[in-house]
Amino acid sequence: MTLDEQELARYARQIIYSDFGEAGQLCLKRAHVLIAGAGGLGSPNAINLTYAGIGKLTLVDCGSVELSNLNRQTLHWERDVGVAKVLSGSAKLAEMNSKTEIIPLDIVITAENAGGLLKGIDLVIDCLDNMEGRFILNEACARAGIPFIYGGISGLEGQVTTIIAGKTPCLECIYPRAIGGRKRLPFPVFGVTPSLVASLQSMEAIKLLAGFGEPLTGKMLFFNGETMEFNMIKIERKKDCAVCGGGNI
Amino acid sequence: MSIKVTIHPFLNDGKELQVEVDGKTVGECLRTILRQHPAMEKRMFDKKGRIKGYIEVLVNDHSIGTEELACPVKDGDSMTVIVFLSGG
Repeated sequence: MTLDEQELARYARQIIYSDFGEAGQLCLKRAHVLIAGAGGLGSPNAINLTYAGIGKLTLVDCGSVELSNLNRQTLHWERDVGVAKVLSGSAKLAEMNSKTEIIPLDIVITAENAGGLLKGIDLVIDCLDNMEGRFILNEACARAGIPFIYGGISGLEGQVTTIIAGKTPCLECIYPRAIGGRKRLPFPVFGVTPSLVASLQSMEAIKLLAGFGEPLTGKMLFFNGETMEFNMIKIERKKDCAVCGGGNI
Repeated sequence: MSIKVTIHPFLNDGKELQVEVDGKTVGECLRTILRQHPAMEKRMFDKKGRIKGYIEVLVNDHSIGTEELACPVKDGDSMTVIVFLSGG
């Protein structure tokens, strides 16, 4: 696989980044990323990576666009209300970059289908809005050895960490599985919050795929937009983690 | 025994709370805080008195995992109670 003249011109401003170069751009072109969720976090992540030149992007979501999504879910516009999010999203992404192959999947991620979804995937970005799905994906990624970039938001607050199972704490090391049983509630959110968290997730994805920089592993970046405080909290693996501990993976 | 405790804004009407309390365990410290801020109890504990699943407690910036309320703390320790943000 090579970069053609159009690609060299299109991505010139990132190719000149010294630690990235044409080799980094080729890594992005070869990559297949799964974005779980096409909402507040999924929209800007999909846009960021499509513009960055990811070769293949699978977009998974089982919802349809609602009017209340339009304060933040930038892939969806007024005309899309009622349309499946993955179809609304993939139509926009295809126009942003015709060289990125977009695979829309209008499905629920379950423990049964997660393993199959990850075949051929190089990296997963967690843009879900429920804990059940996050834990399922966390475990499936751990078993498949695929990096998993977690992001979560509420109001003007957000948090991000990068998980490489077997090497870093996974979601199950950090949080009790019991959160997965919590009822989903409408949470307050301004569009700027998922936009910021998603940009951090996309940055992590680009670094990991192209193999430069230092990933946000072993720590959780937490920010409070109301006070503009950013804190980094150390997180550690659990030896007896049901997902990644004691030789489980 | 003085433990510096930081409570996430979600648990305190959007305002971060920083207090110093006495206690030998995370649970003792939290109970002391809840006596002064009873409104937090419902947000922090379930009806059986267990800390809710979406709340994470850190001692000296380290996750204490499943030890939670029984986790010992000592003079000078810092304790942070955070909420896991699950929105997307």
